[in-house]
Amino acid sequence: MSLLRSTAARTRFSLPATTSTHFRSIQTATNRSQDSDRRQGPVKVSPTSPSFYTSRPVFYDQVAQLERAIATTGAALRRAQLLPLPAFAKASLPPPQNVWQSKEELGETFKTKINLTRYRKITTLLNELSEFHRIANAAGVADISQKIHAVVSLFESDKKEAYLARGKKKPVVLDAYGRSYTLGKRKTSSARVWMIPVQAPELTTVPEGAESKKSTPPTVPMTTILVNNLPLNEFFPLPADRERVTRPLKVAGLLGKFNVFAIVRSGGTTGQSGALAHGISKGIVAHEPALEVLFKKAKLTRRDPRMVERKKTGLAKARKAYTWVKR
Amino acid sequence: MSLLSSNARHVALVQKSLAAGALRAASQPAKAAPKERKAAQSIGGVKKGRKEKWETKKKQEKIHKTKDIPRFTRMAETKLMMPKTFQRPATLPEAFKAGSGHVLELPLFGRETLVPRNVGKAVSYSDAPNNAAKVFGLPRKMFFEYRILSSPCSVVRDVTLQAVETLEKAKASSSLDSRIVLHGRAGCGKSFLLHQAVQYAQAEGWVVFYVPRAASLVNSTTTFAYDLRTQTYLQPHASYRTLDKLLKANSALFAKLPMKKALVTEKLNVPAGTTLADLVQIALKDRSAGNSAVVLDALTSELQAQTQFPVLLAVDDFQALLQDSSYKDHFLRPIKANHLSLPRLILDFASGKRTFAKGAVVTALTNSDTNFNVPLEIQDALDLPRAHPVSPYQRRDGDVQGYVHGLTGFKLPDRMSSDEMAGLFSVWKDDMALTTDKYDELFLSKYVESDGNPRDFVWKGLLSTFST
Repeated sequence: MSLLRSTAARTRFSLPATTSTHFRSIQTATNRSQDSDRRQGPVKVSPTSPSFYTSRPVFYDQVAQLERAIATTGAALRRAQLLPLPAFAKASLPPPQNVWQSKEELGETFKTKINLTRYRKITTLLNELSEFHRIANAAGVADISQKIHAVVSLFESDKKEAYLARGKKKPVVLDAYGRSYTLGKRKTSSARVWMIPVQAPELTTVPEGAESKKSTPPTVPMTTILVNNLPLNEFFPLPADRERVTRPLKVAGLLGKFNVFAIVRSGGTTGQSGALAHGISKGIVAHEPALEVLFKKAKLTRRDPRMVERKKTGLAKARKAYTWVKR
Repeated sequence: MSLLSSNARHVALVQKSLAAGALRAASQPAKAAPKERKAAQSIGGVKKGRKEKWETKKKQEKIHKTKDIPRFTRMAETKLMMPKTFQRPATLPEAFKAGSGHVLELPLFGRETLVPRNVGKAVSYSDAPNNAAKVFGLPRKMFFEYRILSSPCSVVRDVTLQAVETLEKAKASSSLDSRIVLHGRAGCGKSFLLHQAVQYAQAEGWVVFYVPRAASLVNSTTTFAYDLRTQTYLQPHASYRTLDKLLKANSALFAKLPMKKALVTEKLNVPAGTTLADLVQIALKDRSAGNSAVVLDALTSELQAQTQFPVLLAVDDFQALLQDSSYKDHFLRPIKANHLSLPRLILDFASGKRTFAKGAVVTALTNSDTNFNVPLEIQDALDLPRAHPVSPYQRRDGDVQGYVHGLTGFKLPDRMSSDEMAGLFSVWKDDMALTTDKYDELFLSKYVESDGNPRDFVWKGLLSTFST
């Protein structure tokens, strides 16, 4: 018994790898005398992980995995003389772009409830690992980098691209028919604009001297602009509004290039014509990216931020004050 | 109490004070420039603990003051004298100077110029005193345009050639077969085409009866009187003026046409064989226009019967004759247009109740007259495009439906082709109406903005542009 006790004591603080054998040896040692009684009992499966006896085995498994990964990769990087990095090298590394799964997502992935403290612990370890990943990437050690990536990718959120691309302009893509779809705004008006290049008619040579009764087809391709299914001249009776709409095409020198269809909503004539012009500018840039610089200089792609100023208390209108009375 | 009067006393006092002031000024030395007033003055002192804020405020005020007043510098002499550009100096071109006599030099409208080769080119009208435009007048908007242009002209279009072709076919046949209504969207060129048809007919030796503003027959601007015999409201003065115009425009032709039937009324006794010119002269002698309506009726009957010259009856604003007029009867109910003599005459020919042995009736609708909208009956007859659906329960007048039955609609294209538009553009360019020399850009942008509509292209495009 004393021998057994001492073996148990010796083996109690051993490494997890020997737990199974340790467990089995105890069983066989203690139950040798009672073998005949216990033979029909259920066979106990030995736990694979030492965290089996903890309150959150999955969590501790993850933590252990991450800590192991940090240890091994840290050692590898140290062998490769990439750790510790001097300050200037660290500063020159590309900035971290970590988007870890949220607490809830992580809980779902690993089927265990993770509270904030534990989540913070995981993310701290992950950030350390991702730093090693950045160093490995920058240094070009592909095998270390791949190993880290294998671990880290399990914890990355699905919405990483969406999150990193937040606030950036979505590039306008042309659809299967070569149409661009852009949105323009001014004051409270909005214009949804579809633009498609005009299909130039086939040039047919007419023999000289032949006078046909029928007229020759139009030779110059022309832009047609339809606003809420009405031609431009019917929708905007004022010349100022019409000129505002065609200004982007004039600046680009593409007056016969595109046909425009737009749906404009809200606001008045000036707002709607301004919104339409804005949408057309964006559409032109989508079709001809080389014109972006020119349009920026001409302030055509800029959404005019001027809006109607609110009325203030004590004033008649936004700025107009009541007549000052001496007494 | 002084010996002087109050006024004199007052004057004396003022003079005294002035003198005293002058003395005072003379005695004191010249005042130095006033000391610079402290920028900010606190009234009642600065509150405890706000000294720093006060100091910064004073500093800010000082800075603000120096930036306040802008500096005005004299413009360099060289810049003042130099014109804006060397190519376009700030002096009037020769053509704008008084007495320059600048006119558009364009070929004359006629059979030789109305060929497919000339589609998209402008042609001008003759200056003869019997020109239908001069005699009968023109629609309002066309009149304004010709007032601005240095010489009346128009562009030859495909539709012009088609109209010429139609008139050639109608020359030899009755007007029953050629009753045309020109329609299309507002500003597409209906009145211009009608005018071109009138000018062609006159050049080819037709008898021309042109009514450029049919709305003036029904807007109660002329006298009217009920006639029991015809059971219509006669329009004596309108008939008088119509006779006068008909004679002026077709005097040579009327002189060759003798009357087949005598005209006998209570007041008149015109034997058969009298020329139509003489008949009209008889009516014109009576300034009170008593015989005018009867004579006009007789004249048109004679024109119907004769086969020597084809007759063109051209009416603009035709839709005004198909609804209630602005006249009111003694019960203050509106009188229908077809109950007035002149509109009735026109409608009879348009509907085919009366026909010219040789000739045509060409009419044009006007979409831009808000007093006389295009009525439902002709919309149904010609199947005109509608902005909104129309209920079958809306009342249609049976008489009007009878009048519009059998009319042939001719739709003008919504857009002028770019060649034709280029011709129109060069008319205004040559007449020095443009504000810029960037012709390509101006033409393309205005074509796009007007969606190929000729009226918008000229009035809201070329003549109203902000571009320079």
